[in-house]
Amino acid sequence: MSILAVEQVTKIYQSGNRKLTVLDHVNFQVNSGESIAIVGPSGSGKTTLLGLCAGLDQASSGSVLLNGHKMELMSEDQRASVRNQDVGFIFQNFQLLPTLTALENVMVPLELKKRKNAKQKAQDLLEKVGLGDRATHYPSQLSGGEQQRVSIARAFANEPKILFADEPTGNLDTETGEMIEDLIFNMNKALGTTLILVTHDIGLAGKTNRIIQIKGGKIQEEGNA
Amino acid sequence: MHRLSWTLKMAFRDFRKNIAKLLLFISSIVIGIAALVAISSFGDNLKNDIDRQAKELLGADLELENNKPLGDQALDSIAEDIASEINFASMVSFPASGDSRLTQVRALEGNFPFYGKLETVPAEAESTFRTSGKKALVEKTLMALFNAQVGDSIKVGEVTFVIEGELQKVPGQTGIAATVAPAVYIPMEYVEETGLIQFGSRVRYERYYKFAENENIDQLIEPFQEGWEEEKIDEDTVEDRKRSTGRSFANLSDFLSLVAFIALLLGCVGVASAVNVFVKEKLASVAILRCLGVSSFGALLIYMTQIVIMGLIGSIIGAFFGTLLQFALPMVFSDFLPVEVNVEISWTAVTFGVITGLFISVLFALLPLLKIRKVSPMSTLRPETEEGKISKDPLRWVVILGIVAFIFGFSFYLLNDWEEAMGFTGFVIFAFGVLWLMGIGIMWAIRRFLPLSLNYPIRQSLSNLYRPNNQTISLIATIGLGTAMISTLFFVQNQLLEEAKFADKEDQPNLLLFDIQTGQVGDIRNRILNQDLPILQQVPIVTMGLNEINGLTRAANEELDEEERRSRSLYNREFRVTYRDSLIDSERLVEGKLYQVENPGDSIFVSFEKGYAERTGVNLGDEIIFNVQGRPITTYVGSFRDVSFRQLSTNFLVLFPDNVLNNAPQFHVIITNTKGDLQSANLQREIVQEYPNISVVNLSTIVETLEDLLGKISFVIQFMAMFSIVTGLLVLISSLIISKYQRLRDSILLRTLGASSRTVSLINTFEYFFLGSLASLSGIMLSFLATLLLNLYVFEFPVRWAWAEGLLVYLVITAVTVLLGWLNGKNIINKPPMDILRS
Repeated sequence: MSILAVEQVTKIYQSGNRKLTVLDHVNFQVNSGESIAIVGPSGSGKTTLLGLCAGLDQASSGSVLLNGHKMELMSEDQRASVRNQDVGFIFQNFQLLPTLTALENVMVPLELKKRKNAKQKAQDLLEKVGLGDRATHYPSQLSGGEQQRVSIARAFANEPKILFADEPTGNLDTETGEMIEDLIFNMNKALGTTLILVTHDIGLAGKTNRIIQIKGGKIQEEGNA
Repeated sequence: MHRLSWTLKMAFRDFRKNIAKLLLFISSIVIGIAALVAISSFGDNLKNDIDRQAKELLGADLELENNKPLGDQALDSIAEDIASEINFASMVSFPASGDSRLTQVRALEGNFPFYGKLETVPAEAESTFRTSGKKALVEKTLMALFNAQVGDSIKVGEVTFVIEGELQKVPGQTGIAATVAPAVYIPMEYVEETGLIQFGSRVRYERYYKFAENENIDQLIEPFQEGWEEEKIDEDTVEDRKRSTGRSFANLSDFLSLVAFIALLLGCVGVASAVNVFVKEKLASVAILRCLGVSSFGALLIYMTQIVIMGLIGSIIGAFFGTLLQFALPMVFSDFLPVEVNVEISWTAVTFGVITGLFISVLFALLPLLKIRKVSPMSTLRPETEEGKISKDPLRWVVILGIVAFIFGFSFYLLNDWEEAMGFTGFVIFAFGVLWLMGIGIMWAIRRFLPLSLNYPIRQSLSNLYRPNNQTISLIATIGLGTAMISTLFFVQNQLLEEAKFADKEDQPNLLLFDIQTGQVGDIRNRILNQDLPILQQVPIVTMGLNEINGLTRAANEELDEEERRSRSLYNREFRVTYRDSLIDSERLVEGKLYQVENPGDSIFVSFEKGYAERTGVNLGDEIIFNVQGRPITTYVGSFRDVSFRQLSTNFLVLFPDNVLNNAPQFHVIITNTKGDLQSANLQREIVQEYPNISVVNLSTIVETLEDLLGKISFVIQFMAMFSIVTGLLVLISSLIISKYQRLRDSILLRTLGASSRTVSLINTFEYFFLGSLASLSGIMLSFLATLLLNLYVFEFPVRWAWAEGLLVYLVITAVTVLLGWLNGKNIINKPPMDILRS
């Protein structure tokens, strides 16, 4: 069953009088529980594609159907609600809220979803990523790897149907990166979440079910990893 | 409900880490609120004290006043007590030194004041001067001026009195009034003996009444009012006095509140500028929250809640300081107060201040906060993602309109006049607009024209002015406006004094003798000419009233509707006119022409001062019947004159042609020019000794009085302007602290690249020097503009640029900015580069 359907998606940026086509009639589908990697050189349009799929931005034309929601027909605030209900994110630069402790960062999606026992659940997730004892630390007091683990705990907190990861190991050393990869895939598997990740790292891409290669805003190749 | 509680929770979580920074932002409004609360509280207390001490303002239950003896009045028999006073301006001299000065002589009979008392040193002099003997009370300013002591003599007209006491305070009279016309009290029984009440003397006859405690004064006087109106007798009750005093002090308090409001507005610009930086720092967090599913309004609410909390805290702190500050205000305003002010906490003023502060700080903070609504969640992936164009956001315009509406509403509340409120709002928008444009212009010019060949520290410091998150423009606006206020004050004050001193040139009149009787003119002329001094003007003066204008008598005028009715002052005024067929230096014909009377029976055309004619609705060709000592004279308005009242000269609202009033009872004014103060003092002494009824005014006395008066007024205005200056400095300090991290990074980078501490320090110092210079120069330019406009349209003086004062203001403001910047940058320079790399 398809959880994400991208149909004829085009994204054009206007820069002065110049039009820059970043994505050009892109089509693909992702089934529930599947994991896919979007790979391609810098400037190929992969991050833009991820943003459109996750409802962070709107396509210039074409359609994105995320868990039955037609993104192009929704306002930004409606898309925000979909993100809170169905979507999780992991970013290259972690994107933790600097004024919140690790525990509070993980609690945010749960609180937004009005979940009871948000604190306990967040604490459990931190235990799962091995940071149970760092719950009261602020992001500035954590290492890069630790911050990314908090970010993973937060991403899984609202039990998303689909998880988007943008270069999740891009800012980490090899050893820490491998640990983070394992954590993502293990939790993904355990919770049955659909995973879409953008990466340069062929090794990481190889761990997914399917790879979509993108170049110059067009899908060049699509196949099993 | 859940969303709201979650928003508050998130606001609190974020607040924990930002509290110091937010407190700093909000500190800018503390001074403005403090000033507002202090002035409002003081105004409330003053109003209460005027109510409480109302009877002491007048000293009696009723006062009647006329320019001729009041005669028997029906009320005399009803009153419990009566006192009388004759007062007039006259020279008094101190026989010990021979010095003399124009004063207000008040000859008293009875127990006035019935309420309150004349405060004297020694205290018993208040009553002993009334008992038998030639004793006087002399105003303390006059005693100090002539170094006189209690027990010395003072000569009033032909009578020498012993100074029984030094007058400290008269109920209902302000210190300012004592400066302008110091009083000398003498017993009424000697007034005739002084010989000062002669034809032409401006004498006021007053009678004070004390009635039974439960007497309804308004009802009591009602049957007599029409008769008093006929006889031009002015009446003043406690309620009248309370109303007029209350009104003038409410006006003063409202004016000062507006000045305080300007300080608050400056603070709000500081808040908006600081919140702008805060918001920029928060954009990444907002994008994350948006990614996690928070709505744009929800995100806005999280940060707005923090501003509301801080606005509330800032306003409460401000109100607290304001309440403390008001304890100092009776000292600041001591020369202006007619009653003793008891300082109490005014909860109305505190609530008003807190609500105003909260509302306006949130309103100003909303301008940058609205950006939060436009943050795209996509910027978590691409930080360079463009924010929605804030200038196109309709809500931004709603907020701007809200700010303008609030300024208008607030000023309307204080001024109660929509035209004045529009004027004030326009002034604020204009002043901010000019400074804002100057700031933008300066920044543009620096970016556009900064030459690469310029010395590196100077070039770097100039380019630092437009570093990311800079607050250059808002600093130029806030410090500039504070500077503009204080320098405009300096310039205007200086201009007034210079103008007065400028009049003291060789060929300009500087000594004026008035109340000269016709029989005395010849001798006075001789005495002046014998000292080789010129007679610059010898002017006859005839007093008259106005009976009819275009057939409309005073009584007929009273019966007209208010819109049709002519100004009452036309009928009530005692006109002092002169007659001649030509104009003098200070006059210019602007409409009509001067007609001469050559034969008996010729129509008489008079000339009116244009401004007075406009104010009272007099037109060319109007028929006016004057009453000259009981004889009606029919005249026509033949011309209008522009009269410059700047010179020490005799100027008249109405000018008659020659050959009409020559035989009417008259008195004279002679104007001369003495060379130096000594000659002036000698001539004054000689004339006053010989003719005590003649009053003498010399220019240096006017300049001294003006200096004294301006000193007192400017102290109050400087005190109020200080709030704006301190607010400007707080905004500066806040912006320095906000930009500290950016400066730290810049400085570490420079030092990593090999710059010496001296170079870094030099760059910082230059940056503050340029910032201080630009802000103060912008303010000084604005104040030059304000001074120019005031000169052109209010004072009508030739413009005299105050370069020296401008330079002084520039140096002080720039030096303070450099000093604060240096203190802020001291730690930055001493930090090892590794510290920042590690962090």
